[in-house]
Amino acid sequence: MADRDAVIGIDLGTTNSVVATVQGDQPMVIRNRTGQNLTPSVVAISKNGKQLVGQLAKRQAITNPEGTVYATKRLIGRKYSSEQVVEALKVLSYPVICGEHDDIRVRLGGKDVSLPEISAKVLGELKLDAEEFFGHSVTKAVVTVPAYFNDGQRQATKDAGKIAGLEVLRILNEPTAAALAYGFGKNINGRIAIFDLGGGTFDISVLEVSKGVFEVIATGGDSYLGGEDFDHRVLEWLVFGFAKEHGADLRKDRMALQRLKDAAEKAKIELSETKSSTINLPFICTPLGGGAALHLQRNLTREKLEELTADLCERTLSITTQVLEEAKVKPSDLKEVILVGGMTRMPRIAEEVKRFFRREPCKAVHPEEVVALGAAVQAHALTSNQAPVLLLDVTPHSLGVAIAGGYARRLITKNTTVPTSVTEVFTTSKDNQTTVKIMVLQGESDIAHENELLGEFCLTNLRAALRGQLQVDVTFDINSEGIVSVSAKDQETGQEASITITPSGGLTEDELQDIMAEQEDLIAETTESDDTTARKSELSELVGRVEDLFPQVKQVLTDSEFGTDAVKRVEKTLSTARKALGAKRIATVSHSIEQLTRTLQMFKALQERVGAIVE
Amino acid sequence: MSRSRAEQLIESGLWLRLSGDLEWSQRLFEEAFRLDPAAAGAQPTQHEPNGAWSLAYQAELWSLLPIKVSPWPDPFASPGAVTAADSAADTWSQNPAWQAPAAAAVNPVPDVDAEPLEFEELEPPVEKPAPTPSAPPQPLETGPDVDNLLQAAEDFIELEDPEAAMELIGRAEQIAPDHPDLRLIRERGEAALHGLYEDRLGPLDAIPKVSLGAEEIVALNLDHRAGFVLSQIDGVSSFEDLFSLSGMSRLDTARILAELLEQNVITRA
Repeated sequence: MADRDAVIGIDLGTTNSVVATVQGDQPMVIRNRTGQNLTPSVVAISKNGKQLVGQLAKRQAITNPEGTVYATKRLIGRKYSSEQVVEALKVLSYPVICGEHDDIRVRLGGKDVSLPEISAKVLGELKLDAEEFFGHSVTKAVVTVPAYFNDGQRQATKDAGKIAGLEVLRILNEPTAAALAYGFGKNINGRIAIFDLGGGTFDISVLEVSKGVFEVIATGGDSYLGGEDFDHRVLEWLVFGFAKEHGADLRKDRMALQRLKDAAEKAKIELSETKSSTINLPFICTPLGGGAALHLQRNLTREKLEELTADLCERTLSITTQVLEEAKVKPSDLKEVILVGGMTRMPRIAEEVKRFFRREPCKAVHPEEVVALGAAVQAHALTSNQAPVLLLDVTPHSLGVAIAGGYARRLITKNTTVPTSVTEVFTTSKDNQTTVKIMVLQGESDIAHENELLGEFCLTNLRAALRGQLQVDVTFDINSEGIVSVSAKDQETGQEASITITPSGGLTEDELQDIMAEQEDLIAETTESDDTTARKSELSELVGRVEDLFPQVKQVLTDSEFGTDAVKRVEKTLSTARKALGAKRIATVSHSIEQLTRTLQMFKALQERVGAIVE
Repeated sequence: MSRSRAEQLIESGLWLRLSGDLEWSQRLFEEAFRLDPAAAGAQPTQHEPNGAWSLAYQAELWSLLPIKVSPWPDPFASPGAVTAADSAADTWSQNPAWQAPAAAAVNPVPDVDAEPLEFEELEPPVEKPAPTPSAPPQPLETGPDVDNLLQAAEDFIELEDPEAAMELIGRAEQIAPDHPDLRLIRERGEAALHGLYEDRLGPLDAIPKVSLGAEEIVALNLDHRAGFVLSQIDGVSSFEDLFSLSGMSRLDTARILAELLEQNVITRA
């Protein structure tokens, strides 16, 4: 189907993920094994102990809330104690616990699982879909992340790729991927806005595209605003309507709630194409006092949906206004507006965006697929002979150092294109200070402790002097891989100290290696099981042939110089082979096949020697 | 199955009847008859060629009843005749001590060739103090009746009738929830029942589809759990998938799917 070095682009979304590739110079989405373009980013251990990933996991999410993990993208790479995680824990239905390094673990199927492992299961599913499509293994991918992801979150995503058996060629910003999918950078230059309203998050980004260079000049959003909020409004409308009619609260019944959620999403999607949608849920609940099960049937119009979700729509625009103002970008400065995410299919959203930006947004590519397609374009460019589009990463957050008084001094501001290097001069703050401590901070707050501490080091043996007399050069370097190096140099002596900060996704290298080893064993066993039946059949045939010949051979052997040792060896080989017929691992089966093949060869050699055996 | 097993089934049937469960006691008696028609008191009379129980035997059963129940239809009873059950109930209410009711005399049946009944050989039931309204219901003490129920349940499992077995296990649980054999027998029963349902479903990787239209579905008599399972059948998900999606136990899901299949609500694609 395709060449052996096929690479894929993956949009690893909060609610849905998509995998794409380039075929004949055209990017295309690879459908999953159930024929869908979108795979829900949901992992579960069902009540009967089966691991589920994707659509099936999503469909049992409400009836099995403790065993279903979703929206891990909001948590990945963050510290357990961080404000964002504390907020997230209030609404999550699955158990989340603190790991050894203040990282996040979820309890799933009785095990504590890291978030990169959860994401790896989704990535692994997409990898399998791609392998089914190509007919051979796929090991290389470009994976997208939101533009605001910090180094830790990016590293955690890379770790997830590794665990899934993918070499992540590049972590690509989602808005950049969307712009690439529309062919920006090749022949279109200028400022473009990416309006991304997905299933669980809203992101608005402004890119500066110039001669093949993509620069994120502004990004912002709300990681708790997306299609699910729209679904919830419909769900509430259905619940309250039913309660009014029948006096029953459907929210108390998980089965009813699951059906309502599915139906609400379906109706919402339908209303992007039609003016009204009928929601029909027979036998939705049994009345409290018993009796025949009740049916829910309601008609939802597009107008009603817009009324129910008007404030959500307005929120996207107020966030957009704020982000553009911060970046000092006016709607009229923009050359194009790209719609991304399934929710932008809603006519009202598209209209509001058009009204806000005073231009028709780009709609040519399916909005829920555009990010994956862009990732595929970049993956293809990185691995083919064509000149790759130059993508410039930016620092998603400001970097700086702690200074006297508990304040933070920013040396590199957010959205600075990398690689970059900045040096500033600092002085001692006390008389006779012989040591300065450099605390490297990431964040936007002027108060030191409100930022994330990335690392710290000391420059010692300074000359004792009055405060302010000694000057120290502090240099921040960020290379193209996003690795931050900070050095401090005494101007007087040239003495220097430094630190290199390697992003951590929450897992230590040892933990990552252990998980990968475990994963490889699992993958090997799964892969082997597909071939085991065929190999067992081969083994069974060999066992039969050896058993048939053995009585004659035994006679010859007993009378020959081989003696009884050879007989015993054959008997042992046969015994092992019979056990191997019940083994699960293909390696065991293969080993017996080799042994029996050698035995048969020995039989033939004996035949030639004594002419006593006829096969 | 030996005569002794048939007798055990009869004994279990008697206990069920004592507890007021006519339907299931009848099933046990019928099973006993199927196993050994010559079992004591179990022969059908020449008036009842379809294998029904002798009226004398019925009379024996009625006489044991402590409460009023509707006996099986008696084609020979004249209108207004007093039944053994009525008599037994009255006797019970009048005199708490066990009295052998004159069953045959109360409800004479012509041409009945059964032997006279030996009620005296039966142990009189032990009276229990009436529970106070506030006292939580206490399980009855484990006795030979529960053992017999469980034995009968095991027989039904052997006879590949796990549905009947599970009913008996349910009854045994009500009487003696802490019986040491209950858990094991329940597991066996559930496994057998599960096997039965899965046999009805056929290959579990088969994909079911709904064979009725929306209007026909609404006209069905389903509960919300069956409604939920039905709503998950999308023409793509296999039976195995549905076990994971249902949020119910595998056994419950299999039962619902088997019933939907049996009622032709769904078919295998």
